[in-house]
Amino acid sequence: VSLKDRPSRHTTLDADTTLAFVDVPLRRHMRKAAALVGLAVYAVYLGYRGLYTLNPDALAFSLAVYLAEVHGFFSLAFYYFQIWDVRRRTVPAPLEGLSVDVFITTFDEDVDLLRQTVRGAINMRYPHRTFVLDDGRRPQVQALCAELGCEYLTRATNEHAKAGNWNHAFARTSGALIATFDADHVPRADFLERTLGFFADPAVALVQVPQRYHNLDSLQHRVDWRHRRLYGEQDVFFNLVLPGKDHWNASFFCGTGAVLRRVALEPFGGLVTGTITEDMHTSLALQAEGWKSVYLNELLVTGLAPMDFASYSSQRLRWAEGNLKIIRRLNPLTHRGLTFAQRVCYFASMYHWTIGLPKLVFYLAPPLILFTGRFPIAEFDRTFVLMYLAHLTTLVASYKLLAGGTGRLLMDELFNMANFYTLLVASARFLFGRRASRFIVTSKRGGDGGDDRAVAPHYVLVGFTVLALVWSGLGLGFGVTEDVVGAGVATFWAIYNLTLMLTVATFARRPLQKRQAVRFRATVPVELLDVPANGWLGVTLDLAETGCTLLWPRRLMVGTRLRLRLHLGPQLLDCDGEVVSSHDRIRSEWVGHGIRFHLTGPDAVDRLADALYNMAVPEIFTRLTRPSWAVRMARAVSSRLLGSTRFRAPRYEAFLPLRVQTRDGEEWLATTRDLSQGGLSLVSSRHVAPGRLVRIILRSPDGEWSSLATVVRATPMPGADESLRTWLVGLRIDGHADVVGLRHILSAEALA
Amino acid sequence: MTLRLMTVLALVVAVEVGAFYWRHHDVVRLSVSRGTVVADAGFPEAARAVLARERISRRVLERVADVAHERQEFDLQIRALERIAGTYPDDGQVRLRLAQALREAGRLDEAERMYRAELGRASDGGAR
Repeated sequence: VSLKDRPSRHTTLDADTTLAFVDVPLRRHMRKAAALVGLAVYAVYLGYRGLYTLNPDALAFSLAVYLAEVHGFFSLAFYYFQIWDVRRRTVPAPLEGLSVDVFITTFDEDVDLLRQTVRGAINMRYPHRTFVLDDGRRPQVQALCAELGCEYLTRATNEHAKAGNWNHAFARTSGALIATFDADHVPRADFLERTLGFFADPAVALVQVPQRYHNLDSLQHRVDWRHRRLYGEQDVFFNLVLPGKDHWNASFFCGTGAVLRRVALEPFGGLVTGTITEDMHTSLALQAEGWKSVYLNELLVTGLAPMDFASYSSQRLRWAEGNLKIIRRLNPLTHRGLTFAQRVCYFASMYHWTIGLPKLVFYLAPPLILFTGRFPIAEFDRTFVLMYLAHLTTLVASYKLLAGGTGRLLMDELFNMANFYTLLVASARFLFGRRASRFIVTSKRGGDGGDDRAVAPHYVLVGFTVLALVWSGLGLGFGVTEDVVGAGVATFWAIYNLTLMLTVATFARRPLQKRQAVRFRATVPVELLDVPANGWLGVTLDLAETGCTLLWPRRLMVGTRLRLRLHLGPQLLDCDGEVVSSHDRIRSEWVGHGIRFHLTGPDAVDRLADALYNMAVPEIFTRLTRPSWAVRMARAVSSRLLGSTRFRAPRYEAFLPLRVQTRDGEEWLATTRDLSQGGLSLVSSRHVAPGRLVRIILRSPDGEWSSLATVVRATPMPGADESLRTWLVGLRIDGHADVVGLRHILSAEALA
Repeated sequence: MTLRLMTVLALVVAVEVGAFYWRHHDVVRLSVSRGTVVADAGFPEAARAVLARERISRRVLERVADVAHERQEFDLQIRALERIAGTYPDDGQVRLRLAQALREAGRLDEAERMYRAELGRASDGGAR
């Protein structure tokens, strides 16, 4: 079974040849120059601070702030080292005839949640065996496995938690390669096809793909649907740091969404146990043995991110504590077998979790200044201000340039604030803790809303900062002090921190999602089969396994039972539903309705889930990739300078259902994605060749609009399931009269 | 919950205001209206406490000097003005006021020296 010892036909690939640079050489050199300048200015600033600005009147305070800044310097240096060259992978074709096992680890997750993961795993196209590893010993999971046709493994104890569960299965299976998923991580049908090719290199021990989360209303996401921008707290890690580590052959296993080589794990009996982050620990052990790792930055699996603050903090505590404690067992700086770059990369991953204390110093500094009137800087003079501004400017500029649109400084600062106490606890447990840590499974459903305890440290900080502001205000007001500039600077800093603290508190206190299923932004055409609709069509605004929000041109009474036909790409799903709410849309005649589905059986649920994971999820992640305003402006200016500017009519995002007819008499339903005065684009379940003439009929509450249009392009929408294939079709509308009609709809819909 | 947190914060701020008064009652006493401070029998005690502070604003020192002058308590006035003059050595007006206070307190030799020094400074400035 060992690929490492297999015949030569399997050893034709060197995985290093699949690495390709993301940027052109000029941009790569610019990134490196920016990194060096940023670090050099930071070093000069620290030298100046250490030599001239430490305050002897408040030495302890001054040193604490200074050391926090020094910590920041190393943090930045490690970060820039890791992303020195960001690489992507070209995907080699998978070898044929490999024996692949798929492990899905579960403990107490909902069976409904697990069902879609198991189905996703079974539906992966490359031949494999799927095993559900149930540490919860639940009969309903066993029944699920029997129903879906996969194998069920369990054990009598829960020793070593997830890693122990995994190793138990490892000892009872024989696949040369093992793909592993958490219970909530649904793989795409082409997951194995995209990842197995790398194992043609006999030195590759693992291939990891990014973890993306489809519950975009989770705590760690911020979505700007209007500007089609998505912020995920882990974007920098998965889009920048891991591709950067991959350049140094230091990418590591992240616990789910990975394929591992059995022969590499055999010396350890599977995953390395003894810490609560078995993934990184195992990767480190493998790389010390000379094995290679591969990171493939493609959306091949999506899961659920923690919904509430307590679950989020608990997950981060486990990661931080586990990663730090690996140092005690397998110190990357001293362990034999690692390259210099691997040592730095692994140590950087551990060092990252130590920022709790420096952050606390920065959060406490402004209130301390306001209370005591003493500054950590001896003299707040012009030289200091200039040095600080130079440092700040080069830091921000280099960070932004190296991030290439991935990182957002303010959001990163916000999550640093959210995590500071957790990381402080992790550091304390690392330094002083002697007890073995416990693996706690992260809840993906959210808690019961009692999240105030999780943000108690933030409340304490808020209180302390408010008191300091009041104290300083009283002091200035009554004339106890007259340092208006000093108090002003500290007040500005304190208010900045206070804003972060209150935002974190607001995160934690937001109303929790009570729905059992995640709602996806999915716009599919809907017909109501038993409503005399006269050709009316509706469209979903969001869709879940349990219901949807339906936009319908007329109001439907709450309580009405409906027979719906959902057009899921080329597939039709007829199901019963009930109107549970209705609400008018602002500036539009369309009425939004909350619909609860009454699906007749698991088959209907499965078909709907397939459409969600294979159509809706890939489209969401493709849609939410608009560059930032700054990047768009830079591109517009460079296009203008290069003379390649193309003027297009303004486009308005609009999701409207319409009928498409061809001259051959074919007719099908589609939904628009955007409208302009010269045309529109729509998602179609059928491919239409460019140049063909089609008739589109759009019925809105304002009336019917019909026009002939020419297909100008048809590109397949992202997604791995051919049975759910859809196309993004661009149409040009010819004729003034038609455009006038569309303009009328535009005025109603584009504003909605 | 928010209401409870706000209530707790308001209570803590109230306690803090009390603590501020306890810590800085001398300064607060001097910050009320001028007439009240002039009539306050505890003024000398508060002024001495303020003058003993390592750090205090010019505004409070000016108030001490001003009220002490009104109350003919020249010793306190001189100490306050000396403190201001020490912090703001370029302020000629303060030195003149100090010289005036010394004269009114009967310390004529010191007053004369200050006047002469000030005249000398003025003529140096004029020559420049």
